[in-house]
Parts: sequence; C-alpha cells; structure tokens
Amino acid sequence: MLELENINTFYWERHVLWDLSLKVPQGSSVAMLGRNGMGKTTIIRSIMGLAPPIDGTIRFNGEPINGLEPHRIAKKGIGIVPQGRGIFPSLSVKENLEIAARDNRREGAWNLERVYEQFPILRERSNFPGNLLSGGEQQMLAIARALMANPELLIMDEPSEGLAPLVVKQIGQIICELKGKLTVFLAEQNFNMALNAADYVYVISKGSVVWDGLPEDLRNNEEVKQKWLGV
Amino acid sequence: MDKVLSVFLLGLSYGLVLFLVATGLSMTMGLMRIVNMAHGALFMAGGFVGLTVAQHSNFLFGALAAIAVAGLGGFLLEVGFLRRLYKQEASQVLLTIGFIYILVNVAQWIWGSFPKSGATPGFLSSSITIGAVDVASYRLFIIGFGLVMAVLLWLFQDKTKVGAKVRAGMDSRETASQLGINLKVLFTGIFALGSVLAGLAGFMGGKIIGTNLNNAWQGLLLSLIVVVIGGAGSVQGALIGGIILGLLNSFGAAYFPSFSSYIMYVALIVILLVRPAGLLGRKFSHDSNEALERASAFTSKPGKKKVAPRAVYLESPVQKRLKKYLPIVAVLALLVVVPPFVGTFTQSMITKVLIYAIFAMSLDLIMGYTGLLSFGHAAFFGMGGYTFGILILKTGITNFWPAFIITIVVCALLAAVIGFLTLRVSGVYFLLVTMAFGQLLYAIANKWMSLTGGKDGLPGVTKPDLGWAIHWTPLKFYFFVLIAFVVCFFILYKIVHSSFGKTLIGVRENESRMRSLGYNTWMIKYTAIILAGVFAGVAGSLFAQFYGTMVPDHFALQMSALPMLMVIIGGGGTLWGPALGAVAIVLVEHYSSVYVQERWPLILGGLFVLCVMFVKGGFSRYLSSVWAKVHFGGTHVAGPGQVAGKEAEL
Repeated sequence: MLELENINTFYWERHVLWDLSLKVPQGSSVAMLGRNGMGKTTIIRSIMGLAPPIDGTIRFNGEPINGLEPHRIAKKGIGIVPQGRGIFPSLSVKENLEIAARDNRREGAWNLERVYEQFPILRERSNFPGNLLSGGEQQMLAIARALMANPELLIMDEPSEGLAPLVVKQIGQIICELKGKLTVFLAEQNFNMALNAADYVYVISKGSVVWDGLPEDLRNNEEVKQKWLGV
Repeated sequence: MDKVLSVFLLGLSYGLVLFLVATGLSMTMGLMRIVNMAHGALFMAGGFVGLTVAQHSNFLFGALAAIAVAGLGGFLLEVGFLRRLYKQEASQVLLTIGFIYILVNVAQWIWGSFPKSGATPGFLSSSITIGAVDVASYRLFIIGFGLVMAVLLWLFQDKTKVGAKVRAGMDSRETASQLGINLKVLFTGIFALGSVLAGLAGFMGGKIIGTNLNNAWQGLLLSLIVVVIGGAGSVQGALIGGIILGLLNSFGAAYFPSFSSYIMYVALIVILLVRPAGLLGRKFSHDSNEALERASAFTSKPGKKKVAPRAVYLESPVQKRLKKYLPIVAVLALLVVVPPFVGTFTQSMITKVLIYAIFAMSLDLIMGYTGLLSFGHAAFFGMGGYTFGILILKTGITNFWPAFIITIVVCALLAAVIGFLTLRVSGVYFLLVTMAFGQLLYAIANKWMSLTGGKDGLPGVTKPDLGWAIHWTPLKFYFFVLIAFVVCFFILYKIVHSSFGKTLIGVRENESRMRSLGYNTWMIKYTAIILAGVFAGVAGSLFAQFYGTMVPDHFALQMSALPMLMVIIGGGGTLWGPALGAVAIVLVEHYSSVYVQERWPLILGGLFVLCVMFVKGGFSRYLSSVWAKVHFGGTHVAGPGQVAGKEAEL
C-alpha cells in the first residue's frame, strides 16, 4: 500500500534520511521504533509532503505521491495523527472533527455519529475548545479526527507521547481495534505498545533502517534492543 | 444631549467604515499572517473606480465596480506575489509598499491629485430627524450596512465549516494541510474577501472619509490602529476597534478640536502600554519548526540537494587584512581625490549620497542586523534635522558642537521613548507601530506652527561655525560630511563586530534561543533602536545643513521607505551594502527627477517590487562573491560544513 524507495530527505543543508526504504503492505500494521531524533517524524513528514524527499520514490497504492502538496497526498486516502496531536485550539472538539471529514457518504463510513460512539468522551466534550481537553482526550480526538477522513492508511506519530501509562494502554487498545479495519503505520518510542500493535517492525537510527523483522524476533534480540533502542 | 447624539452617530458611521476597511487587514494579518501594506491602496482604488462608475451610471454599479477592482487587485497580489513570500514578512512588507507607490501614482495619473467627494444613492440624499437631531440618512445607511456585514462576517468566521477551516489554518498550517485542507485556495479566497471589503468601504465611505490619494496611506494607518486596538484575527476585534476609533475621532473633533488629530495616537499608545495584544486579540500557537523556517527563509530554499561547501581560504594574515581593507581604502581614496575635480553639482550629489548612506546604515543596524523591521525611521532623521534647525534658527546657538550634541541627545531620548513603546509588540506589528509613530511626528511637524513652521518648514538653516574659522564652500562641506561618514562607518563597524553586534545577529536568527541562553533580548533590541536613532539623527542634522531647510515631508513615510529600499537593494546585514544602496537610489532619483519627475513614485514602487522578487539579499552579496573570485581565483579547500548533521532530526 505504502512504499518508500531509497528516499533522501534534507532539512535545508542537513541530510536527514539516507536512502531509506520501507513498506507498509495493505491491511497490515507496521511500526517504526527508534530513539529521539533518529528520523521517524521526518519519515512521516516526507510521506505527507511537508518535507519532500530530494530523490527516491514514495508510492501509495502503486502511485508515486512525492512532490504532491500535503493536502493532495492526504486526499489520496491517508489519515494522520500528527506528533504532539495537533489539536486546533481555536476550534471546538466538534469543529476539529468536522473540518477533517471526507468521503463519509458510503455505508459504514466514519462520520460524527460513529466517531462519537467509538469515543463517547468526545461527545460529552463536543463544544469544548480543543486545547481544554486532557492529554488522553486530545489523543483520542486526534485519532477520531484522522478517522473522519475515512482513510485507507492511518499514520500515527508517537501516539503514546506524554501520556500516563494507563492512558497509553487505552490508546494501545484503540489501535489494536483499528488495525483490522485499516492499514496502520505507527512511529513509536514505547517499545511494548509498538510491539503489541504491530505485525512488522522497522528500527530506525540516524535516518536509516538498521533492522527490520517480526515483533517477536525483536523481543528476543537483545543486541538490537541494546544497540539501537536502549531497552 | 442632542449634540452628544449627533456626534455619536457621526462617530459610529465613521467607525463602521473603519471596521469595513480594517477587517480585511485583520483577517490577512491575524489569520494568514500575511502583511498587506497595500490594503489601504485597494481601499483607495475601490473609492476612485466606484465613484467614477457611479457618476456614469448609478450607485449600485459603482459598488459592484469597487468590489470588482479591489477583489481582482487583491487576488492578483496574493496569487502573483504574496503566495511566494510565505513567512517572509520583510519581503511581504517591502513588496506591498512598492505596490502602494505604484497604485497611488497610477491613480494620480488617472484622477489627478484633487480629493473628490463620494457618491450617495439618490434615495439616501435626504436626512432623517431623530429627536431634535438631523442625521443624514446616508450615515444611518452606513451604520446599518456595517452592522449587517459584521454579523454576516462573524457568522462566516465562527459558525461555518469554511470559517473553521480558516481558523484551523491559522492555528497550524502544517496540521491543517496534512488533514487534507487546501489552504492555498482558502487563503486566496480570504485575501480577496478582505480586499473586496476594503474596496467597498472605499466607495461607500467616500462620503464620510472622502476619496483621495492619501487614502492609500491613511486607510492603512487607520486600519492598523483599529487592528491594534481591537486585536487581530477576529471580526469582533475589528468591529470594536473600528467603533472605538470612530467615536474617539468624532468626540475628539467636537470637544477638543485642537487636539483631535493626536487622539488616535493616544489611543494607540494606551493600548500598547495596557494590552499590546489588543482588546480581543487571539493567542497564536506556533508551528514547532517555525523558527527554523523563518531563519532559513531568506537564505535558501527547501530541498536543495547540493550545498556548496563553505569555503575556507588558505591565506596569510596579511592577505586577510588586505582582502578586508583594500576595497575600503580604494573607495575612500576615490572619495578624497575625485571630488575637488568635479563640479559643485556632482559634489553635492556625493554629499547627499553620504548623508543617505549614514541614514541607511543606521536603519540596517536594526533591520539587517537585529531583524526588526522599522517603517518609522524617518522619525529620527526628521527629528535630527528639525532639532538641529530649531537650535540654529531659534535659540541663537551659532556653534556646531553644542547644537550637534543636543541633537544627538534628543534623538536618543526619542528613540528611547519610541523603542519602549514599539517593543511591546513584535514582528509585523512592530513595523506597523513604528510607522504610526513616524506619522505622529509628521502630524506634529505639520501642526505645531510656532516651533516647526508647519507646512513651510524651517527655511534658512545655515551651516554653523565648527569652532575655527571655516568659510563654507560646497567642497568643504563635502569633506566635512565625508569625515562624518567615515566616523559613523567606523563606529558602526566597531559596534557590529563587537560581541554586542553578535548578539544582535543572534536575536535576528533566533530570539527565543538567545533568551534561553540568558541574554536580555529586550535590552539588546532596545539598545539597537537607540543607537540606530542616534545615527539617523546625525544623518538628519547633516541633511538640515546640506539642504538648508526641513519640511514635514522629511518625517513622511516616503522618507522611511527610502532607507529601507537602500538596505534591500544593497543587502542588509552588511554596512557597505546600504551605503551602496544609497548610491543607487540617489542616482535613480536624480535621473528620474530630471526626465519623469511625476512618475518617480512609480519607479520607486517598481524598484521595491523588482528588488523583492529578484535580488534577494541585495547586490552586496553578488559583489562579495565577485570579489572573492577575483581575489582568489576560485581556489579553496572544502570546509567541514558538508558532512555534519546526519543525526539531527528537526
């Protein structure tokens, strides 16, 4: 579904991603692990067109999407839960959800009603300004907002960041529920949460893939864990 | 009581016109963070075009024409120019100032310089009696129309999905676009809407404000003050700001006529002191990497693959010195040797260049080095000239030195006051507020007849005694200015190369980082403003002696725009760049005044636009690279800059 082929991304003069390739097959749930500052967010920004790669190809459903503007890429069918959640403080919870709504005519599509069923707390808060929610609620809002676009692929950038362990568990459960319904691509630092949610794992360090394989292999691979993840 | 009511209605109708003008500026500045200085020019254009069409047909067609011309103008401005300058406030400002000159000059070409009275539809030419007060029904119509527009705009902003998308874009462009919102189209639409409102206000308010060329600047100034009072980014803010300013204006004119032209500045100062974000100001969140983008916006484009390694030249210390000082020595030698052999006219041209160069370098200290965009630098220039002139003409001081020293002190004090007030706001608001203070001094110079001579200015400023017997000739005065220039250059050179100078650059590149490193960035900026004010004052006092007179126009916006243009033409962040810019501007000004005097603003405006779009960084950058090539023949070894930074994720 999503394929990155030898992409190189720069921030101004700084080479951040080095010939990086990875794949997210249809229907799967793929996680990227890596320490802070290793390029995970840049990978996502490259996919979304915010930091377009200089060379290499990004394909979505077989179609190259690099070089497109972010909103066009999103409209191909990608929903995003950005790093730091990206809730709009000037908008109410309901408005936050509504502005992202897309393709919700067909049957079984995510719409306001279904999202509220999935996240009842958001219905209660629907008229609150987005920035008055708790961290966990904001994370749910960010996920719900991504779902409103009815994406084929859901990209999440560190959904566990800054949340209490109990809330992380809750978010983890939500991701596990979602992963049967759509393709999920996840950047995480939380080792356990990522391994529970993913079918396949990439370990990223210094802008390159340094290891990839199945979650259980990683769980048993002390060397990779110590060298690249510090677990 | 009747008087109060009629003054109230006058003020309210004026305030609602101001609301219509200002709401567009508030939206583009507050929501999109795009500065459109030409907003007032669209207001003016709407007025003229609408009036002309209305005179040949009727009021409704006039309104439609005003809408069409302003909307189209705004659309072209955004799509053709401003869109490419996203997050480059300096460039946006300079570009749109250029468009003001162009539009005003074209309007003068078409409609002439005389103000015109606006149109009213036939059915509104009567007046209505409320209680014991006669009110022109047109004013009531404006009040009603303004309030209806306010409600519609507020509903659009807060209750529609498009409005929500715009607010989302204001909160974070990145997040909004990742969610599939096409901000380009949205923002072009908002920009055009704001322009349409300005054009409509120009036409409908013609009867109240008048239709004249000055509306381009006055409309900008008034909408700016409305936005500062009410707070940017919301319809409610513009409405409150407009009504407050309108009422202040009408009550001021009715009860304190002699003081009325200062009331809006008083309101501005009070708001800056008490609530710099405005009464209903929105709080802005910032994209996490905004500082990074901003810092790099001037120098490079994203996604540049090959970066030339920073050259490290292999050279001896003597060579280094040579490289550094050879051009300076050469230019200085020319400046000393050549003038005695050219005519007095050329001598006075070079004198003017040197004075303007001091002026431009002083602006560069805050604009190029510190990154503070000031559009009120003429305040210090004019203050220097006026203070010096008044001292010579009215106090009986005949010696140069006491007059000069008092001038410097006065300019430093003025800069201390203006700096204190303007630094309450940052970014483009700083620019707009400095502009307002420049205009305040312009108003004072015009109104305080007994001291400043009003419109006639201060004729007959003589070149005073330096303390030893010099019989002034143009050549001697030229050398006097040359010495002043060299001294100023030397002091500024020492300042920008001192550790203080480095902190200025630090503030420009990333102020919050400087603050977290423990620097008092406010104090750094404040000091820079005072220093710049002093040097501009020096230039002003020299100019008064050179020109022999000072007039209020030396406080005017055009006088603030000139050094800005010199800085961008020559290149900010160097001292000789602005000096070079001064040469270019004086030459262009001279030749255009010889051949096409009437069209000089058009040329000036065109220069602004061309410079912003095509010579980013100024000519000094090209010249230094040429110099490096000439001197070193392109032999250099690669520096360390090219491998660093793989590990960093931003």
